[in-house]
Amino acid sequence: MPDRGATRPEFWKEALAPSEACLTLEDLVRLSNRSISREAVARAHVAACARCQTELALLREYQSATTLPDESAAVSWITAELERRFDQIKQIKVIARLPVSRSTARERSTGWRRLLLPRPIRAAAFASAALLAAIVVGLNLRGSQAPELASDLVPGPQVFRSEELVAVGPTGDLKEVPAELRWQAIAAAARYRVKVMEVDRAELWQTESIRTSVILPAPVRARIVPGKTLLWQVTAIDSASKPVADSQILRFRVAIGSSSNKD
Amino acid sequence: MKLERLSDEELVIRARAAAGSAAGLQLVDELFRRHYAQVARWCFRFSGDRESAADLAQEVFTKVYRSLGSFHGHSKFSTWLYSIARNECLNAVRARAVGPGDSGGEMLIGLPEQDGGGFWAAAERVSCAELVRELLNEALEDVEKKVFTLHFGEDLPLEAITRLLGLRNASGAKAFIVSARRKLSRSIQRWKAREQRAVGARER
Repeated sequence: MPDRGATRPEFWKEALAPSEACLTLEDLVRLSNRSISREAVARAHVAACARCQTELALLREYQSATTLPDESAAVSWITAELERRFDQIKQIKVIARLPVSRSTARERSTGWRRLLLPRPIRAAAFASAALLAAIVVGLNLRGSQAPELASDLVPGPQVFRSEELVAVGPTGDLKEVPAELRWQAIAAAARYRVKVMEVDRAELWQTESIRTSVILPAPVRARIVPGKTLLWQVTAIDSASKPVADSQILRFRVAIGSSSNKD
Repeated sequence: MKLERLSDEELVIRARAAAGSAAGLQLVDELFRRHYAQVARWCFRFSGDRESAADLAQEVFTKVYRSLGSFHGHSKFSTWLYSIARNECLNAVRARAVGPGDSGGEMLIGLPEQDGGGFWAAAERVSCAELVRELLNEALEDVEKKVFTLHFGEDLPLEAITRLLGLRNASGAKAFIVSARRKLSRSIQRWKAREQRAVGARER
C-alpha cells in the first residue's frame, strides 16, 4: 500500500464505500418487511457487510416510532414548528446558488463586475432574482407571523474566549434584509473568509475581506427571502494563508411580513 | 372520502392532480402531518438541538414538496421521504463537522501502519475493500461496526452517532471506536501471523 495506511481516514472511507453487491435502500426496506426476492442471498450479503448492516440499522431506527424520554419535548416542539412553517414549506422556491467567489477582497469588485456582464446566463439569474422578489412581495402580503428564531446554533449561553473569533451580526429574526455581515477582529488574522449558507450548510456565497465586515452584494440580498433561515460564518486566515479560527455559526431570518430587499 | 383513509401514495397522486389548488395543499398537509414527528425525531438526533433540527426538517419537507412531481411510486412514499431525510441530515452534519483539526485520523492511531510487504500490501493485492470489510465484519461487534462505518464511511461526528444510535454509555460512540481500533489491530496482527506461516510452509 504505497501511499495509504490504516491511520488515514481516506483508506477506511474507500473500504467502507458501497460495493456493487450492497443492497439498495428499497431492497433494505423489502428485506426489513420480508418481501424481497432471493431473501437468502440478500441476508447472506447483509450478514457479511458492515455497511449494509449499518444502513439497515439506520432505516430501522428511522422507522421505529420510539421517542426517547429525553427527546420527546424537543420532538413535540419541532413537530409543532413544522406545522406552523407549512406555509413556508409550500411557498419557498429554490434559492439559486450563486457561484462561489474565491477572490480576495481586492479582486472582489472585478468578480462582481463579471457577474453583472450582460450574458444570457446573467439575464436568467436576474430573471430568477426578479421572480424571487415577486415571491418576497407575495409573502409580505400574506402577513403571517413566523415563530421567533434563535440567534445561533449553540444551545445555552455562548462563551467567548479572548482570541475567539466572534461573529456579531446579523443574527436572529430581522425586520429587513441585512446589508452587511460584521464580526470582531482577532490579532492573528491577516484576512477573513466569510460564507453564507443554507441550513444544510450548502454554500450560497463566499468572499474574503481584510476588514471586519463585508457588504452583501445585491444579487445575494435578492436571494434572502422572508421566512428562509440562512447561516453565516467567518474564518480568520493568517499571513501564511492558514485558517486559524472559525467563528460560531450565526443564523438569521427575515421575518415574514417585514420589509424586503428593494435593490 | 376522508383523507385519513387514503394511503400516502394515494395522497401524492391526488395532490399532484390538484396541484396549485387549496384541495391540493390540503392533501399535502395531511401527507406531511403523518411524517412530521418521525422526521423531527430523526433531524433532532442528527443535529442535537431543536432549532437546527427544525430548520433541517423544514428543508427536508421543502425538498419533498418541490420534488413531489418526480415521485413515481416505484417505492413507498415513506422510503422516498427517508432517503431525502437521510441525505439531507448526513450532508448537514458532515458540513458542520468540517473545520480545522476536525479529522478522524487520531481515532485511527494505534492501528498498524505500512509495514513493507505486510497486511496493507496484501490488502492491495487481494482487493483492499473486500479484505478490509471481511476483517471488520469478523473482528467487530455489531455496535462497533455501525459506529466505525458511520464515523469513517460517512464522516459523521461521534456525538451525532451517539444520538443516532441511542448509545447510553458515558463516553458514547468514542468508547466503541476505541474498542474497534483495539480489536482491528489484534485482528490485523493475527492475519499477518497466518500469512507468514503460510509463506513459511510454501517455502519449505
